[in-house]
Amino acid sequence: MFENITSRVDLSDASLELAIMLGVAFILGFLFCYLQNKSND
Amino acid sequence: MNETTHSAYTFGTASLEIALMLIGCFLLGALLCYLLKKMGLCCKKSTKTVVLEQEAQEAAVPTDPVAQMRARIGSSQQTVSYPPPISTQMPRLDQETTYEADLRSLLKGRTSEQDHLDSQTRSTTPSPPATAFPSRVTASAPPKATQAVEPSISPIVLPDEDHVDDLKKLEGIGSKIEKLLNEAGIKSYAKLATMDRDTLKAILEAGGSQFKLHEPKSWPYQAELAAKQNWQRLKEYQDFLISGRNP
Repeated sequence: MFENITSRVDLSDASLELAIMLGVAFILGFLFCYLQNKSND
Repeated sequence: MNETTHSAYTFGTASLEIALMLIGCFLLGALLCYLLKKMGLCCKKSTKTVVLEQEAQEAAVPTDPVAQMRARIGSSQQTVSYPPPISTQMPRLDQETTYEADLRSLLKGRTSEQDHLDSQTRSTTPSPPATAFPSRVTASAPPKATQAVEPSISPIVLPDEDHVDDLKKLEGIGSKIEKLLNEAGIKSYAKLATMDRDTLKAILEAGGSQFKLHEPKSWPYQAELAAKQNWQRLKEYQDFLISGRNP
């Protein structure tokens, strides 16, 4: 059912969404570590 | 685009890859923050936090200036028979010797008065009366490292050999130097307070070239204050220090 799903998605849109998701994950990871260090202080 | 090449690339595979990439980015962000913290560029205490802590400390002491002065005089007279430093002046060399003399007299189970009298009777050359600490009186004699490492102090006051204090609370001492001092047998504040600068310098130089730049001059005095639980004065002193060195 989900085969060939990538062929139906515009690659540029998918890349943009993926980049945004990765950026958000990066920021979340940074914030996670930052807040943890803050709480340790 | 040839769809047959994507026949094995299912939705589940793509989701798994995306999830892995998200986790990787999350970890990368955390790693970046960790490295920045190690470099001292991130996660420092904000000035607001420091100000709030100072305000909390000030709130703990009496607001009345006269009561504050009385509290200061009372705290500095606990172990004193010398004229104590009354105000919030920074401890200078003469005050340092006073503190050392106080602590050493406590460790030896003797009163400062007795030490004071003994130093006066022992010293043949005229010397300042406040320097009751023997090593200060005989300042011309070179310090003996072995003697300083194993001081003859009454075991009643010295903490147990197993007693370990957090030496990292002292300005200029990090985890590596703390480990080095612990390996040299210095695990408590009281023990560190009995050391002199030359002995500590020798220990640092023996630890490797990375410790050669550290200046341990202020560590015994800081350790004295910490051993006396005089945290407020220790903080005041540390504020005037730059990486453990006298300004």
